[in-house]
Formats: sequence, C-alpha cells, structure tokens
Amino acid sequence: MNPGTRLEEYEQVLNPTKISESDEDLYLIHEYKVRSILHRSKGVRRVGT
Amino acid sequence: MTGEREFTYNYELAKQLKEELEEWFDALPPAFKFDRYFAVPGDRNPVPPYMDPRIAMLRADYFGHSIVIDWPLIELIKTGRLTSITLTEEEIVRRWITLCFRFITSLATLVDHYHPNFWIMANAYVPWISI
Repeated sequence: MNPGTRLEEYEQVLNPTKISESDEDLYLIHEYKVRSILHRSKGVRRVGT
Repeated sequence: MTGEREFTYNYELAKQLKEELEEWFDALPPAFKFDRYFAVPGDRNPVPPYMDPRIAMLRADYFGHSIVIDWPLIELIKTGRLTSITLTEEEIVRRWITLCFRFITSLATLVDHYHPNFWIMANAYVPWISI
C-alpha cells in the first residue's frame, strides 16, 4: 500500500469535495459552530449603557 | 420585555463576531462552501446558486447571522435613536440590505424542499429580532 494513501483518505474525510451520507456529523459540527456565533450576537445589543 | 429599554450598538463585538463568521466560512470543507456574493435579480422568483439541500442551511445561517449581528444598529437608526450617521453606518446599512435579499432568497430554497430545518431556523432567528 502506498504510505500516503491512508493520509489522503483521512484528509478527504475532514475536507470532502463531495457530500456523502456519512458527512452528517461534519455538517452538524459546522452548524454547531456557527450557532455559537449567533448565541453570542445577543451581546451586540448593549442594554443600559 | 426589554423593547422599551435604552441600548447601544456594540461595534467592537459586532466586528469580532463578523470576523469569526468569516473564519468559520474559510474553514468549511470544499463540499460545504457556497457563493456568498450572488446577485439577487429583481424579478419574481430569484433563485440563488444551486446548493445541495442537505447542507443549504449553512448558507442561510451565514446570511442570517450577518443580519442578526447588525440588527441592533438598524433598529437604532429606524427608531431615530442614533444621533449621527457616518459613512461607517451607511456602509453597514447597505451591506445589511444586500444580505437580507440573499438571506430571503436562500430561505426560499428551504421552503421549496419543505426542509425541516426551516422551522428550526425560524425558532433561532425570530427571538433575536423581537427582543
């Protein structure tokens, strides 16, 4: 086996160029991350100052 | 309800969150990336560039977050509570309006597919706008 093959497969999992059924976890991670920004955006409205 | 209370727009936090949003976008895998600068023509049924319906929520989130971050400033201007409007605010407003059109267009694709996340999104954004 080419020593680089596993690494390429691993990179493909982290950085896919096509969406597969198994990418759901990856999608949820990014959805979670962006929602944390939304949650903190409440602080942009600074009340009482 | 806090609708009657005085508030200000936290420019520094807004800037920081926008930068984080850009970092989030840059870190997306190629398969999840989308065009952020698509034009919204003024016809009856503007359609954004195609995006796999399974991940189209990410695009709507990107535009939705951008709108929510600047909403307090828009509200200050709308209610006449901002004493002066400089070029900085004018630029934010112009960008905000463009993003609203892209957000609505992106949402329309979720409705077309009866996307269940559409209702999750409604729950996520409505409380922020109505504070």
